Amino acid sequence: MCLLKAERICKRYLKRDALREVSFTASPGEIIALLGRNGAGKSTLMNILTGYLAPTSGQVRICGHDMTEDSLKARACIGYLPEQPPLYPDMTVKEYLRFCADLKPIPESKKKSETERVIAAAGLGNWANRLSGSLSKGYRQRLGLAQALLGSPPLLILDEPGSGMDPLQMVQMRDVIRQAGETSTVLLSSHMLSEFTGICSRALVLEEGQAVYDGPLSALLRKKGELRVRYQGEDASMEAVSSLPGILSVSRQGDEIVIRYRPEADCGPAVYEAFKKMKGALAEMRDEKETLEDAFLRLTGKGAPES
Amino acid sequence: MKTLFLRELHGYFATPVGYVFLAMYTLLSGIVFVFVNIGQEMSASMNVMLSAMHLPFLLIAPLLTMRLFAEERRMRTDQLLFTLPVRTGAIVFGKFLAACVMLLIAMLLTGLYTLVISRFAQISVLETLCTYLGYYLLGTSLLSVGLLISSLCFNQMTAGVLTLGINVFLYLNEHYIQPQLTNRPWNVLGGLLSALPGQDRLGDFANGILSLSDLVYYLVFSFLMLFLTTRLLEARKHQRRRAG
Repeated sequence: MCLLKAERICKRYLKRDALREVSFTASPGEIIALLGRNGAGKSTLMNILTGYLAPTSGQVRICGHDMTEDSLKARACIGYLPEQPPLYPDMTVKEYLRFCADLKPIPESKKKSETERVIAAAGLGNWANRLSGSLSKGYRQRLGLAQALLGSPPLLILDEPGSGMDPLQMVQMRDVIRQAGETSTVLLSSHMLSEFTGICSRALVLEEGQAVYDGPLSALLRKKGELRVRYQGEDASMEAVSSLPGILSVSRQGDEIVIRYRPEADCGPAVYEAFKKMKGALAEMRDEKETLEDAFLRLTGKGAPES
Repeated sequence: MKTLFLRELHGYFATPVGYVFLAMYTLLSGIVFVFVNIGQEMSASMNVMLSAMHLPFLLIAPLLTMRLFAEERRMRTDQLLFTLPVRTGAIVFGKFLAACVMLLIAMLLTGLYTLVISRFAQISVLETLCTYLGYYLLGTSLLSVGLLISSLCFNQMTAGVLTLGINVFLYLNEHYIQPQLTNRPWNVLGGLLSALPGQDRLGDFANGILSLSDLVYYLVFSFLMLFLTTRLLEARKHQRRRAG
């Protein structure tokens, strides 16, 4: 079943195309990372998916409801954390969440327990009676997330959920999103590509309003063509490695031997066998992969040309 | 809608805005009561006080409406409101109702003057109630204009100044422009301008007559402003710009 379906979404502002024919679907249980640089169109896409903006053309369906024709039902299926948490500074954490719960399709009898659940889930227990205007940026972000989690909507759309958080808060935020992902489909955006690597199964990469990649996060990261080996033995024996087919160079960096090879050659097994035949001790061998940043630069054509 | 109404009412009292409005209204109406009702006119009619209060009210009414939508946009809380499963009309009406309740509280506070006067003179309860109803309806129609202006602005100060300008224009229209336009060739313009809300429709209310046509006029005018505000907010979905 398709929980979110975006078809050929275009958004045009006067002279600029913010989004160009972006199409994708999301199934229940997926956690999708929406990646892209600042200004790539991530927030615009999210605002369209939540009904805050109307697309210039294209269609959005949430849980089978058309966002234009049946907006109220479509919006009832969404929990949304915008880029800047939409808080009322004159309301306490509890008052704010109760206000949001009253506007969401949550049965009257469950509103109190639901409010308490999201307060606990977002780690806001000690701040429940504090004015939201007095919270730090990280806690405001948590409160925004708690608001999105209210009512356990089938689809969570989180725009830069890690913004303004310290490393510990980031770990906690990832845990909350991972837990939410057990019951909801999550679409989260980030320009800090490594923030949510561990929890997302799929990536959608936007560049200048176009989707340049939509697929598994694991397939987004290619091999770098670089083996890093920790080996204790004679360097002279490296000749056996450097003469292997596909090897470009062998050098030493600190206590590691760096072996560069043609990525299409997949030299790992052959190098391993070569080291096994040597007299020294092979302590570690790593086949390096691209970081998300490298992959992103490659996809958008902004990185160094492929070897 | 109830939730949004309560939120807005809470907003008035969680910030100085609500207190400032009530204090200003009570202070100014007190001055008017002492110097006009008792001093100048020596009249027991509340119409004297409320009529003289019309201009001060035009000047302080923007306090109630300037933040209603402009502040939501500035704080980006409009992103919450317009993505929750709530009708735009309910948001608009909830905010309008909160502003109307603030005006009601302010006018009820002036009821104290009626109690004071009733100790020294005989007052007509029906006439007083009708006068209050008339001025309340006029006030709410002006609030609906302020709400519309607020939905057009990003900054509450801009909304406040614009609403003030329009309110002053309405005053000038009623007292200076309208009399000039009567029986002139460009009477079509006069006809249009006479459709704008003013005190000229309050004569019957002041005499204790519940004028159905004027009652309907004020209600329809407010409804039209709320409808325009709703349409405008929905149309903005096509024009909004956000970074990202």
